[in-house]
Amino acid sequence: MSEQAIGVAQPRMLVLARESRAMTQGQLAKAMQALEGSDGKVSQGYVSRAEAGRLTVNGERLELYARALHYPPQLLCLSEHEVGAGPGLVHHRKKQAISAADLRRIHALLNLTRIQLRALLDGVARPPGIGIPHIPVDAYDTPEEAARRLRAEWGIPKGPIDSVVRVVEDAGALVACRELVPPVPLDSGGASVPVDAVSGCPPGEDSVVLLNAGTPGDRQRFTLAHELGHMVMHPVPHPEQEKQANRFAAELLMPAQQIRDQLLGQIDVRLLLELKGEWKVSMWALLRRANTLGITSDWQYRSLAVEMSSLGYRTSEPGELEPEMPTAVTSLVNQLLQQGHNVEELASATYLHTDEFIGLYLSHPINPGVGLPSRSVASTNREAAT
Amino acid sequence: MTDMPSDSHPLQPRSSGNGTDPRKVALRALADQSRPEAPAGPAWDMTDQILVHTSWDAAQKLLDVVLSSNAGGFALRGSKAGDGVKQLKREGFDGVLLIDSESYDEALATEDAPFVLPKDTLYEVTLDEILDGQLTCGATVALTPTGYLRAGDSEALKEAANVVAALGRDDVLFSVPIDIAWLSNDNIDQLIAVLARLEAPKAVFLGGQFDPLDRYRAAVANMRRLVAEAGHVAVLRTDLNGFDALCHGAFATSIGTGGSSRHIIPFGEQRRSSDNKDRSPSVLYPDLMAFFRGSTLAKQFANARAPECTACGGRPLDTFLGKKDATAAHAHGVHTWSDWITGLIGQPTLVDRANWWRNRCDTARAEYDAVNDRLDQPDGFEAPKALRAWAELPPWPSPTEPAWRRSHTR
Repeated sequence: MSEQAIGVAQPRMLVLARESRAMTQGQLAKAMQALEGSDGKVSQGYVSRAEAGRLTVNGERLELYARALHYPPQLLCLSEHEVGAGPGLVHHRKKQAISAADLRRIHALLNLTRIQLRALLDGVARPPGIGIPHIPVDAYDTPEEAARRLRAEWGIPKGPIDSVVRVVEDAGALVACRELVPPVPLDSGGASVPVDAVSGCPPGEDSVVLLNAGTPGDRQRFTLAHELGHMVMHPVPHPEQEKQANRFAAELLMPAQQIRDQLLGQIDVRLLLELKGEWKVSMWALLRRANTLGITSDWQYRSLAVEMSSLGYRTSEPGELEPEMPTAVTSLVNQLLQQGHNVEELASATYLHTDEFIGLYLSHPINPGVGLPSRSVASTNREAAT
Repeated sequence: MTDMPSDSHPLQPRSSGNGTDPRKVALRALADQSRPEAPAGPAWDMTDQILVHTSWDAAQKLLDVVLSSNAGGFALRGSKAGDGVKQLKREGFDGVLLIDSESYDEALATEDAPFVLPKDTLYEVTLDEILDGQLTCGATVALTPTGYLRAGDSEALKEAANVVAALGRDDVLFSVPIDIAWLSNDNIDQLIAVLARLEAPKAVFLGGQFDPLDRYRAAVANMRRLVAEAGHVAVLRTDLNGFDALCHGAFATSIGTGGSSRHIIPFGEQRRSSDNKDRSPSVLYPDLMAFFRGSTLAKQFANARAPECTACGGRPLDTFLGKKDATAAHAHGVHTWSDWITGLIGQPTLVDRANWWRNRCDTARAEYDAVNDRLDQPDGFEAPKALRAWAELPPWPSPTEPAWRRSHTR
């Protein structure tokens, strides 16, 4: 591929691509050195200068850079205009502290996913979502009221929400699963997922939610409701935003008016497990809800929490729920394939190598007979425009 | 519906941060006041008063005790409350009189119907008419017939406050019968925000089984925030919590004679008791600053001499054993706590009151060990969680927040 066809790497993209691969500048330099062979002279200083824009990366060096990062060179050359403003205000729901490097990687993944989805959306006429309203909250108007208002405005039927993913996608947001951070092994033999999700609301674009692969179903649903809370309540950061998003999610998934009567009486592990199956939320979320609604005292809450901890429910609850599967992005890809694009084209359009595109976007069965005729995304865009 | 003023009280939760935060300034100013902020209108007469909360039947038997004490009057509850107030006025009683219609026992407050109004009447009875009826009986101010407010039923709370604001009357006390979970950290900010927007005085009732304040670790600290920040708050139908409230900004309180008059029960629940067959009344043990069943006192002092109440002519505390002793136990309680009022009112500022109260509670808490040692029963008496909180929390909340909100919340 010629230099002119690809262009010159953009410093911002070099950083984004490297961080998405969880590589340090030194590690990237070593990878490039290894690919270049014994004659190679790539140092960490080179990577640093390239990312700072103090030297030009093009031609063979650009190819080398891209190979080391396992991205097509075109990704590294995307201009500010092509990338857009970025993911906007980013929220992440985390269970435990994570390193700054992990956080940078997660943000990079979110931004790259946004870029990929932008490219895919360019190829189809997607019906507009019902839209995510902004509902401001403060001490007087609470997150619980925002959740009740949203349920009413969106016509969500009383009782447990069947699919939180569908609610979020129907609103116009795009949900995808990614391995944000690998599970952390625990002494108990289980594993804990440090980050459940990250979301971004890019200005003028559809909101994007990345769910961490491996998050249990109950936690995943609460996480999605939590991220929806951010989209509804937090166009700008707020010091209490994580608590507010949790309160929003609790009311959205377990409306006080509807769940209170079921929590009255003797609350024990058996009841919580039963309600978990019905409301599709964790036993911990139900216990916390009972406390917030004044059904259990702090002391009853603590006593039951101790019992549940001793049973190992902190890391693994009984009554496992199947994680919900996002469908909007899969439908989008299928639609493009049905329009006649092939996988290689879609991979190219999303600045991914084909193998990675398949892993990220085609892990679900593809409808038979699609993807055979070749037709470029760009030509579809032109047709749609006319 | 008329909009309520959004800045009626400077302690309403707002921004925090710099030293000119109006909330901090107001909290400091409150600390230096000689008495709580008095509400406008007839409720002004209630300022710094501690009323006896009881039924009319019980009140008649306590009249002489109340007249000879520092108690400020009666909050009469139940169906005969109106008749009781009428009769007291006829007889020339000049103290504060309230009619607690106990509407919180009849229905939940909802957004559509925050108040409990008569239904089976030929003509519609309005809220104004209900309130006028109380005043006609002779009540000092009229208490709204608010339904029970479950935790998080914020639309009902807001609507009730909106309706009271729209009444535009200064002779009304907005009754706020809340589930104690409103005093949890999740709900307190909204409760304060809603009440602080309303200029009318408010009367908070605490709902929960046994001692509601025991249910949440943060309840005492948040109760203090409520009375300091929500503007013109009285705490009715409570226990010694009324003293704590008066030390931290509440303008009035009422203390119940028996256990059932010292809190309310969540709507729809039956009153629970540790022993349904026990008919002995609850008795205030002055040195321990807590109420105990007469039977409990008799049991604990079975092999020791029980303390005697000087206010009751030397009656030993282990002699209140049956229903027949209820009036004497009520009188003993009123005598005892009304003797403390002089000490409370005599403090030059509210922060001095708070220190005075903390010291009393601290002494009482230490007395538990002393009494248990004397009885040779290490677990004989256990200090209530609320008393421990009154003794352990910083006596005056720091406007810079940490100790104030964190104590007893973790």
